[in-house]
Amino acid sequence: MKITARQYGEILMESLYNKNEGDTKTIIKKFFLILKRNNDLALGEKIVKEFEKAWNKKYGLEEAEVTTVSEIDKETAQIIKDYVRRESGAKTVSIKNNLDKNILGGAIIRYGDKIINLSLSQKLDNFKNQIVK
Amino acid sequence: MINKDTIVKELRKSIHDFKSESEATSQTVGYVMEAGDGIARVSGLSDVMMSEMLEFKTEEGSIYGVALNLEEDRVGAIILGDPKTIKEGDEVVGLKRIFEVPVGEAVIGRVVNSLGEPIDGKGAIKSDKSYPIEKIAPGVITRESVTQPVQTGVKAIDAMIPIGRGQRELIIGDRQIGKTAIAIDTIINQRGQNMKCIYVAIGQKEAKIASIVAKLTEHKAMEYTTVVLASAADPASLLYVAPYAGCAMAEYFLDKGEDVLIVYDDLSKHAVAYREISLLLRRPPGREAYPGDVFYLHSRLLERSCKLNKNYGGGSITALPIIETQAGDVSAYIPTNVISITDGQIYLEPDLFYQGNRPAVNAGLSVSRVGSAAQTKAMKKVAGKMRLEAAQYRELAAFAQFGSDLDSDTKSKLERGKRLIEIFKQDQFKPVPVANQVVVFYALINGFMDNVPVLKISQFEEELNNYLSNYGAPVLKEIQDKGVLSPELETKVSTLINEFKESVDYLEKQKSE
Repeated sequence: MKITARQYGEILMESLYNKNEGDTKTIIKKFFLILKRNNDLALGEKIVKEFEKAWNKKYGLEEAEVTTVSEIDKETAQIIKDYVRRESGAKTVSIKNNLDKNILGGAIIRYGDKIINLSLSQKLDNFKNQIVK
Repeated sequence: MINKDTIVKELRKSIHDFKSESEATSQTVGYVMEAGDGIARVSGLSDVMMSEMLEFKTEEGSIYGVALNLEEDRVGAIILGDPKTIKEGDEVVGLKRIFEVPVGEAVIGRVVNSLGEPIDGKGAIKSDKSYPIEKIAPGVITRESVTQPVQTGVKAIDAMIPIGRGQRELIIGDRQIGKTAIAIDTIINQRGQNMKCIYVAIGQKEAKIASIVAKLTEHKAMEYTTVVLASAADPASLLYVAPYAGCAMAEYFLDKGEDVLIVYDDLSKHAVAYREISLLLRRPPGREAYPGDVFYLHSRLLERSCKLNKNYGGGSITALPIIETQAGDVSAYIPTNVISITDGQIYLEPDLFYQGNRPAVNAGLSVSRVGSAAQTKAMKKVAGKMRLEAAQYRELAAFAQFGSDLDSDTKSKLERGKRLIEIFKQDQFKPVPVANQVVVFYALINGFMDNVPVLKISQFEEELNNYLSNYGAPVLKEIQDKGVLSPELETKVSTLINEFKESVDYLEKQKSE
């Protein structure tokens, strides 16, 4: 049977769990050899993603992405972190701040498969949809 | 043009709402993993619901879809729109509501696609109401048994297989045998009967639909009819959605307490479209490769046809689903399913059709489980005998093929039967009003036609109808309005027929005993 990227990612995470640095290196090397033998090297990128997902789940990590026009201050970041922690049930939340002038104002928060779009561009779009029929 | 006040008002409202709505906008997103053949697999969307509407955000704008498969780590969805513009990695948003189509008076007289978008080039449909395409059928306490008739205008059906408002009557038969013709005649005959009609074409040729629409327009039937078209060129997802969309449009009128007639033409193609979707979504195939829930596919659709009681508005949806059989095989999977769901079927037979009996209704195999509850008293009185005579004729005709040595009683029954078969012949697009039907049937069962040659029966009938419209208008009106054939009325009818026979009767057979 074919092994999916998700299965590879989970297996890798399981085998790397609670290992020291030396072990980690050998495990990764062996994992690579298995991939090569199975002719699954093309899945590499996907496996990395799945591995990250599985790792984050195991350690209760959640990565939130915040898109704003200008960089957010620490206070706001903390508020967002608290919110995401509350909503997703993760233990630790890290924040990545993307800058995008096109959203005009407000913020777009993204974590897991949730998205909260509070950008000004979205609001204006909605407003336009409401009055132009 | 937009009025200034509206803008100011909307602007104020938006500014006001801007602060307060900050919490409600959390959306679930996913990304397209693969797309093709009208379906897409989407990652993420962890809390998406079954049948939830999805928005695919492509470079060329939004395309909508419906989530049909909820799997462990992905969602299988059908794409309602051009699937070519969707690319791997596109964002997909769950909209937290079931797919809706516009409904209301604005859709009447229009030709729309499965999404309720106009395709007749008559401009946008201005409707502010929309109904979800999937809805749970009305429950027991809201319903009532069928009592009011639907006049199809087809003599053979109105006499022998009466259809009531709120009934589901299947039209079944091989290809090219007049299934659609019956449905279209019925729609044409609903003029002035206080009925809205919805014709759902599933997987039909667009040329056929164009000619149907032209015919309906010609008979002024488009004034109360909507055509929902998912043509053979449309993707399977649109074919799958079409009957539900049509039903949603019908439910709007049902909720208003009106009567609706809906034709699903045809459900075999619908089942095939659903099979295609199911197989692409990798659901396990069952008999004839249909998925396990094809029965539910049709039962949940047809169960939405109903007759509501007075407390719930008293509206009704009458459904005329059509099923095309292969070489007369009614015991195939889909036909048996739909036969068991509906309240009866009109079975059309190739042999009858090629013998020239059109509509080719097989009176023996066709039934209406609602029966005579859905006939006016006048019709009941004459049609009961008609059914009996037809049954007796069928039996005798088979028997009499072996010999010509028959007693006079049998002979007269056979002669009557031949005329009866002639009476049931009817041209397309020529529905007959009930009152005329009652008079013609009355004439037949009371022997007024026994001395008219069999070959002249249709001419006789036509001339009788002409005569009636000239001299019998008050009688027809009485039958129409009262719906009862009282003894006084009966004498009036028989004198009318006698008068007609005397005045125009050049067809008299020489010896009448």
